[in-house]
Amino acid sequence: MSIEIRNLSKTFNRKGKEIRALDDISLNIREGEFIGLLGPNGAGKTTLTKILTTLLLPTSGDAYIDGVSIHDDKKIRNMVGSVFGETGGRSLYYRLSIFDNLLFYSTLSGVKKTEAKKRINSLLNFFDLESKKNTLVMKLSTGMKAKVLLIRALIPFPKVLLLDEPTLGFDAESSEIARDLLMEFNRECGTTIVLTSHNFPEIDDLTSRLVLIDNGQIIQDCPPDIFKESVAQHYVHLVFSLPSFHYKSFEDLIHISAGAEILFFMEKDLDNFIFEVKIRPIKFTLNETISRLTVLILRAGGEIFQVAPHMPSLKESFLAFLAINKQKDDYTQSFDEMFSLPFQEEE
Amino acid sequence: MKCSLYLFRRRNNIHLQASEVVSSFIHIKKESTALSRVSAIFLTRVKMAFNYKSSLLMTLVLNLVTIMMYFFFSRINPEMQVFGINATYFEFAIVGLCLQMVVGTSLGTVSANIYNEILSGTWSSVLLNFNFIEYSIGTTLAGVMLSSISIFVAIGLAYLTIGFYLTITFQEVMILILLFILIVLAHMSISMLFAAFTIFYQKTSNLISILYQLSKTFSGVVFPVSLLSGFPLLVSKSLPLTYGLETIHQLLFSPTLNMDYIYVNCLIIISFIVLLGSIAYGLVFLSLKNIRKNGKVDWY
Repeated sequence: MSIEIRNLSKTFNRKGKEIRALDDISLNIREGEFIGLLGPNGAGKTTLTKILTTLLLPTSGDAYIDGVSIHDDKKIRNMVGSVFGETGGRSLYYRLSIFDNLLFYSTLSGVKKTEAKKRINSLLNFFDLESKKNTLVMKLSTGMKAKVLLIRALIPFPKVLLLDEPTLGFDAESSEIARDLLMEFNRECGTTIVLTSHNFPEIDDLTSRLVLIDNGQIIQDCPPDIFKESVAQHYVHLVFSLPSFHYKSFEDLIHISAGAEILFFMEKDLDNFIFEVKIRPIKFTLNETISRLTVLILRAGGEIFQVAPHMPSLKESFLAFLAINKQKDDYTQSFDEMFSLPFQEEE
Repeated sequence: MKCSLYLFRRRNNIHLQASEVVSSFIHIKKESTALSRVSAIFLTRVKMAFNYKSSLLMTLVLNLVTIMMYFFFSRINPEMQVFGINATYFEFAIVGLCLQMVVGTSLGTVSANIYNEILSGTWSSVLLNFNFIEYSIGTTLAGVMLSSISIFVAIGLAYLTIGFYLTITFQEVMILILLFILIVLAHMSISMLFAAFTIFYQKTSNLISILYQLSKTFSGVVFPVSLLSGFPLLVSKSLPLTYGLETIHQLLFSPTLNMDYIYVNCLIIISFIVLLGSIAYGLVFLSLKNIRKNGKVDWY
């Protein structure tokens, strides 16, 4: 099911002060897409998720899931499954067992009791919680509660999954199998999934599209690989020896023959003419640049001790992106302030 | 990595793979009925109450002791007088006493449950599949059942130890059950009304306790309504319990069955249910819209 968000805005009024949580957001998510929603704390991710689950009403604009407006809350709730980023599974009844909790919520969401029992058992088995099914939720660890929350969202077999930090507290093993399951739902059943997480490797592994939100606005919307390439630098880390080394000629050679530029240079062992460089490809791909560099050094009678391509992680790219954005904001702010001063004085 | 994960899962007897789980979900479309949803809410509340064993037991025992004492005093010596009051008074009071617990429960259950959901953090999840009528019926039924346990156990014990002195026909039993349901529904409607305010303000109201005390004082629980006049009578006439209790008294203690009287009183209680229920439904709808608009669904 596709999600269409049109000029969505949400403003909260807190103690007479207006807080703009979402600012004219528009977004189209195709059926069966697996998208990652990233952003710093307070960016508006949870607000957007809550609006799509109909727990919040937008101030203006509209959103449609499979053509149905979010104002038609009953229909939307039948299509959407959600996990809200919560620690300690507080939306579960602590004095009820895992099984009773799941059965209660699944019956409430419209799944027939017999069918719900089957689904609960298979998901508990999958997450290795079968032996704990009669344990009260209050006696579970944080990770186990998080698993129960994810199971609860999956039981009604929703066509759209809105997951806000679904694997918070999961151990590495559980996190891996949860990814497997989500991928399976996405690939086999065409479930549209919107995943909000601060677990960057998870977003990187699972999603095919990345939407970045900051200050209630979408500031980036592209596949994770393109985002990484555009924001953070990927480079070749090279340790080599070259008997007759001259920096300027080396730099020119790298630029002309390998279509790259030197980011970092260090004389590692001058007695043996060993140098360390970080080279960023400009003209060619990373692999092509590596081949060209290798040929260049070997032809010049040099020796290569280490070649390592460095691909920036999503986390690095995200942090770099935020830093660039902050710099831009600061610049705009100071620019605005500079020009607003004389007008204020005139008043 | 995937291979080692597969081996790990096999070693630990976790047989289901992601594809198996997902394939078992496909092509099944069975939907739960309103009845099954109400019973799910009912069972959840009962199970949770049974998980608070000590408090449940204390309530049961205390109720049981009080009811048994009334039975005991009224039957041990009908000629006895306590401070000039005939022991037969207890026969009159026992009906109201039994009912007041049920009334108290049905009066507070819906709003108290919603308040607990808000406090504990389950509210937003419940709200995703919220049907106010189903929720109200499920929670009230659970509360009433739990509070009625002591009454039925007390009646059973009284019957075994003291003997049952009332002769009651099948028709009267049916009318009693109907009245019981109507009284519960009327008070559930009031609770639904308070629930609207609980949802809106995320607080409980002490007005429920005041209303409960008024019901206990002016509805004929402690003394007959015929003794009232003026403003207390006006208060009494505006409480649904008055009509229910008066009818039960008439049914149990009057030698003749006045069907017209029962009819009218039943209709009055039904009017209470319809009127208060509709207002409550409308107010809850508005409250839900408001909290969704202002981002005040829960505390978290």
